Amino acid sequence: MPDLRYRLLSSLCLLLTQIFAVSCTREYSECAGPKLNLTDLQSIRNSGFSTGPLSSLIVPNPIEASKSASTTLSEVSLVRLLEDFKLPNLSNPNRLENGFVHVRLHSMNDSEDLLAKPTNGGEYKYSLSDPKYSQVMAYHGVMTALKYVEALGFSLLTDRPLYVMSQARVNGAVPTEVNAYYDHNTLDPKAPRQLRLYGESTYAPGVDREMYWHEIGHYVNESVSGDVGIDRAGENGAMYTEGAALHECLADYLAESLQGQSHIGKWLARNFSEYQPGQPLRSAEDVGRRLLLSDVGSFDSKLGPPDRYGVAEWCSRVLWDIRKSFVEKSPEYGAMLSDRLILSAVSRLPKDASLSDFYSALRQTDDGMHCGQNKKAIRIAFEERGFVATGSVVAVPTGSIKPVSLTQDDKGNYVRAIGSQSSGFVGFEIQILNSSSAAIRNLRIKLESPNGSLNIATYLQGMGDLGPGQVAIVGPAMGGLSYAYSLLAKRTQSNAKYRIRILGDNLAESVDVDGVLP
Amino acid sequence: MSQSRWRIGIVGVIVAAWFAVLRYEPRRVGSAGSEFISQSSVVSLPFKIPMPRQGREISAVEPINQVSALDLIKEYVESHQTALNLQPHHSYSFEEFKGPLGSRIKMSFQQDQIPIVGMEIHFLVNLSGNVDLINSSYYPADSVVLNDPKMTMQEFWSQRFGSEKIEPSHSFVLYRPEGANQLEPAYLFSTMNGLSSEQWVVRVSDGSVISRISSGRNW
Repeated sequence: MPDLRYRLLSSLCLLLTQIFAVSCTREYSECAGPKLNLTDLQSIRNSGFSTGPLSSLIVPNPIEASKSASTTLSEVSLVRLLEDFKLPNLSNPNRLENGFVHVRLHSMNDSEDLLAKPTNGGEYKYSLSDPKYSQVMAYHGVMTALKYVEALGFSLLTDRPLYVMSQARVNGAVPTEVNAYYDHNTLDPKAPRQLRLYGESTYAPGVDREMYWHEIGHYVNESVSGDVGIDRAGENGAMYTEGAALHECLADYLAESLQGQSHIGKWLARNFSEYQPGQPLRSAEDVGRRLLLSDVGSFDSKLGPPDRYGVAEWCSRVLWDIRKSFVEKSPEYGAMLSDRLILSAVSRLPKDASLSDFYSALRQTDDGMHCGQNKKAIRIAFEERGFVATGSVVAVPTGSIKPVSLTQDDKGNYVRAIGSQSSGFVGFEIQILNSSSAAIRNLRIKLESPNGSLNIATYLQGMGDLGPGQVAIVGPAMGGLSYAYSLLAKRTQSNAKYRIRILGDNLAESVDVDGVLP
Repeated sequence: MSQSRWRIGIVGVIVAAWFAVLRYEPRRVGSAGSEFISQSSVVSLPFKIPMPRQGREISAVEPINQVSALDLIKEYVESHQTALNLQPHHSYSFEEFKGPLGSRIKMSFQQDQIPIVGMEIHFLVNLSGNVDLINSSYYPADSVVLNDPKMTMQEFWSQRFGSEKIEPSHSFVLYRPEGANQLEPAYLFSTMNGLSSEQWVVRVSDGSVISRISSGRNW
């Protein structure tokens, strides 16, 4: 009998061990997310493509590569920092383009002599001061980022070509401003996407890979979110929305994470006197005290809504904190898992997304991808920087709304129409008082046309967080912000009805104000 | 006393098992989806998409690894034309954006092969074949009578800019202004304004500017 008991007990123990082992394995595989080829991904991050003509570049830019803030392109010693990279997927080895990406110098219609061509040995190697060098950097930078996002498991929007101008000019003129633009050309189904880098100075942005990675980040945002328009309001004239800040934040994050450094724009910042040499344009880690949302995300009675880049920098610090938690768990692959989680969350965002939408999307994505194992880290990253996901519901704000006829001055600014000056444009003077004891989170004003008698141009404006007792005023006549911060429409008939909705993340419901234009 | 401990223990095991099952239950369409529906369709949509039943119906067809998300949505849309209030004069096309956790399907609309801008339905389908989210700006707008345009793009351009500037290439579309309940035949084109570009939407009937938007994102 003892023998039988012993056998039964042993069998039971063995069974339990097996069940435990199976459940552990299942737990691990189910919570690791869809399988990734991490070795390939790592190789792409290092731009280690195995095919294509050879190029020679200093990455990401001379300042970062040399670790010297005073470096310029003309420094002879920079040559030692050149690295060889293969340029993948060229459809024609004699041109920097493929079925989707088309690199140009000044414009989409550049003459052949302006375009980079391989040298005798079939290689794309130019001196740093040659404008063709920047074209090679453009192709290398854009393709590395696109290949990386694809390898993470995302399909890309390739319905229209992408033109990349490494030293863009408008009507052939050398720009006096240094800047970079990504144009998604959302509305026009025939218009190509465009990435344009402006500036031909000593610190020309075209030689900096970070610039391409940030700008292509905007394209990635649109692509991964299924072209839903996470900042459609911004495209329609909004001065500020959280969607706009998110766009910039995610573009910074992609560039920073791919590079593995928590800042961006040391090279570009050399063009601006307000930055010290070596000071980055934006940083994903605190310099000094912790940056809180209240430092950058509130409505200011003098300055108006928040600056999108300020909120973007705050947001990139949240994402960097999340990334760090992944890297702590897996120093080798954590960055890639973090990138995948963040981009997957972007794929869940709605039109005109808010920080709250993004926070929820991150947590929902982590549920689906990692069994929610990182939800706590996500929550902490947001909350420690002053974001309150489920704040208390605040009282209904009070205020006033008054429609005004507008016209455009000779600079294109909207001003109040006088007498018979009316152009049919209508703006609104708005005053919103937060009389509750807590801030209204992500205050927005939205314009709707209940009977379709308004052509609405700017349908949404974000105001940021409105502190307790604070007033947001739009309308210069009331001592408030200019009409650029207002909602804007053109009436198509008399007695046009309008509805203004005042929205806030922690308002129980929107405050709707209906009216008829006089 | 010991019997009641056993009972508590057994109940505990059952409850724990129940929670474990729940944890691995594939997620169904739920309140998250409704949240987005209500957000996108508060005023503009006079109908409700039959969201709550949708996930189960679709997931009941076949697992997503055998039938693509795109096929599932196509099949769903075909069989729910009435419920979705799709108008017969609106044809549609689909675009799929794949991601690690599923696909996002964008449904675009046309009338007489002319693209409709400002009206879309987005579906988010997870790997289990359930629809997590639907975000719609579709409106069952009346068919637009497409007469010859009263104003050509050339006429608009020469009136506004004279003959000095070269007329840009343009698209002819049906445009739904934000929140409007009708479509406008319109020309769409882009121009440069300083270093950034602008997209123009111009009404074909009288050459008035419906919208002029900046689409550029800078550094």
